[in-house]
Amino acid sequence: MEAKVISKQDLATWIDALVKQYEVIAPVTEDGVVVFRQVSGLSEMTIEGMVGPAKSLREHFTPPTETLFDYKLEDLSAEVIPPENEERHRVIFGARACDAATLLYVGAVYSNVEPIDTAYFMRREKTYLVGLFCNKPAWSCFCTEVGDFLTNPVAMDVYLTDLGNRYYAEPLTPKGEELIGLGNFRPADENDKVANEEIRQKALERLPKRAEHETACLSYDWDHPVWTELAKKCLSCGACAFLCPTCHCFDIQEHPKLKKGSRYRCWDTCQFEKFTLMASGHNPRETRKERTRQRVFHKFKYSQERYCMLGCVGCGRCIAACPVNIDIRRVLEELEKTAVAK
Amino acid sequence: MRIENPYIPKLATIEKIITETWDTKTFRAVFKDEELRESFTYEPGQFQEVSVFGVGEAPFCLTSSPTRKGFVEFSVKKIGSVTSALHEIDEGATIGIRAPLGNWFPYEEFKGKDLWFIGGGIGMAPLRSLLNFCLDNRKDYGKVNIIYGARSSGDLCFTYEFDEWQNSPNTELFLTIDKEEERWNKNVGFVPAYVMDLKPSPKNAIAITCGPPIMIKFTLQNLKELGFEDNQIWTTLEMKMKCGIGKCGRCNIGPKYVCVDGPVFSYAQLKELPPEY
Ligand SMILES: Cc1cc2nc3c(=O)[nH]c(=O)nc-3n(C[C@H](O)[C@H](O)[C@H](O)COP(=O)(O)OP(=O)(O)OC[C@H]3O[C@@H](n4cnc5c(N)ncnc54)[C@H](O)[C@@H]3O)c2cc1C
Ligand code: SF4
Ligand code: SF4
Ligand code: FES
Repeated sequence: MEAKVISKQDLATWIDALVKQYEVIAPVTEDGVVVFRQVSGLSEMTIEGMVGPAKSLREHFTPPTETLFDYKLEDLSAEVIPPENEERHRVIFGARACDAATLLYVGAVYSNVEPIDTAYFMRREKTYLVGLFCNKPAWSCFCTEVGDFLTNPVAMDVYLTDLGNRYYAEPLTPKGEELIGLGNFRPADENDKVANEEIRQKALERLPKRAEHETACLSYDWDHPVWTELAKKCLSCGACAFLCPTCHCFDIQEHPKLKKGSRYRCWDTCQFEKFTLMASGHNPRETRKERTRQRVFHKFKYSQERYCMLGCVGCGRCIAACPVNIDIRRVLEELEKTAVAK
Repeated sequence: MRIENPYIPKLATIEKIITETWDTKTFRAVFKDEELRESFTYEPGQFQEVSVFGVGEAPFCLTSSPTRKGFVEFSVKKIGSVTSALHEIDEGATIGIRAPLGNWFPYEEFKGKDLWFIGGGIGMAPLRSLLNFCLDNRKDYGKVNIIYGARSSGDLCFTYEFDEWQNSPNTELFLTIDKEEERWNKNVGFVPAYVMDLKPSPKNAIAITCGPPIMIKFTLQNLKELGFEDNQIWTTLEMKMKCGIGKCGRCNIGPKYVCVDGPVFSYAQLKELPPEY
């Protein structure tokens, strides 16, 4: 599909055209950090020189709390009322390559065994992604260590690159071409292509090289000393997991009222002690040693064994957010030292 | 692909409640939807998520046998919020059921073999499904032996079925309780020790065990000592669960999710997994 270019002056009218047809979700600054919210125009967006968004797209596909169904009680009987489906189609504008890649992973988790998670896939089907290349990766970014989706994007419909006074746009799906058709784009010329390549190259130079985490991870050491070390530092606050785009674990709870109520699911994490605590008092992951190991092993080992992919997109959010500076890259380095030595 | 919302339970009526022991009751439920009641089937070893609306949902194995149609049964030990709520409800109440979930005992592979059911306490519940299934297909299996133990005689469940089990052809029931009791004329001692006394022969045999973790641990050791191979020993596991369909991510042992890859595992399969259960 042919690459196109839109000038920055024309961006606002393109966004307006998108807003007319779709619910548009884009990066905005909220309480000093960049998050994705529904917008009604370019003026609300934080898109120029955008640093890595603090929060991923996760909440737009699996909300922090989501009603599974409502119910009404009547003496001995009960009635279950399913939630209404969201009807409107959405465009997520300015999605990062790592967050888009997450959709592939979480999609595998929610569909690898039947029944599939219908709520998740209904949202996905109704969502189109206009991605944005990361000109200035953050210090904590390492997506290039775990995949090549920064330059070969997945799950996107359009991929934009900021070329200074204009955006370079690669349509990746027919839907992407349709979205581009709503703006004042012109075909990309040789200059644009060269500029696009240069910017990509510069960004790649700032990022680490592809690492062989896949092979190393499979021979990880269950009793590695790094787990004891992590257990000493970790606070079990769960910040890493709640900010992680690929973390998908949830709890199921109930809002009971006298004669009616609802059952909902809400984000939960393996970093919390009660996550695996059973009614009998038995807890297979009682200490932080087991729990920190679960997080790293789940992403780098179990996910490969189960879904044939890594469960980490290298967004670095867990690194940036950890109050005690636990850095998953260093953990991997430690693990891989012994894995290679084996 | 199924497009139904997988978290919505099917409504069922509690038809009958049996008080098994001071802390355990067995519930018989029938689906309200007549078509579902007719078509519903499952395999021995599978489980269900039971909803008490206003309280929550919890997993219980289907203790009934699929050979006995029209209803499902589950036994509940009172221990926390959902289980206590179930102990409060009366016959006629409406509950929700998501079932069948999980894998099952490979009863085809067990055909022609001698079976040793080794259960402790409420752990007899999942075994009962397979046991009654085998007794209903009696000619397919060799000798059926049931070793069942509990803390005291008052802690034994399914006592009303003991006669049926004992009187089945080529079937023997071995009962044991932990401590001496007046008028108890069966064995006294822990289940693993009783296994050693009875010395099941591993020849063309399968052992299926479920009970408290400590009982399983020593039973496994003893079966190994008697010469049972890892793939001749089967058990069903318990892990904290929520979704029951491999999505919520809390029941994993390494790369396996107990709710979809289990709850039934052979000892050979368990040895492949990290020791985190
Ligand atoms: C596959 C499977 C089969 C089971 N079969 C039986 C059975 O036949 N009879 C029986 O009495 N018990 C069985 N259990 C254990 C039973 O599920 C727990 O006792 C029950 O969930 C406790 O719920 P609660 O609400 O009373 O306890 P709470 O402590 O209030 O627990 C709150 C919630 O946490 C979850 N939870 C807590 N403990 C467990 C646990 N051990 N396993 C799974 N989820 C848990 C449940 O969603 C529960 O509703 C089984 C467990 C599993 C995993
Ligand atoms: S583990 Fe950390 S770096 Fe990897 S996807 Fe999650 S938050 Fe990003
Ligand atoms: S790391 Fe923990 S919270 Fe995150 S997806 Fe894996 S098990 Fe769930
Ligand atoms: S109970 Fe949710 S994944 Fe197993």
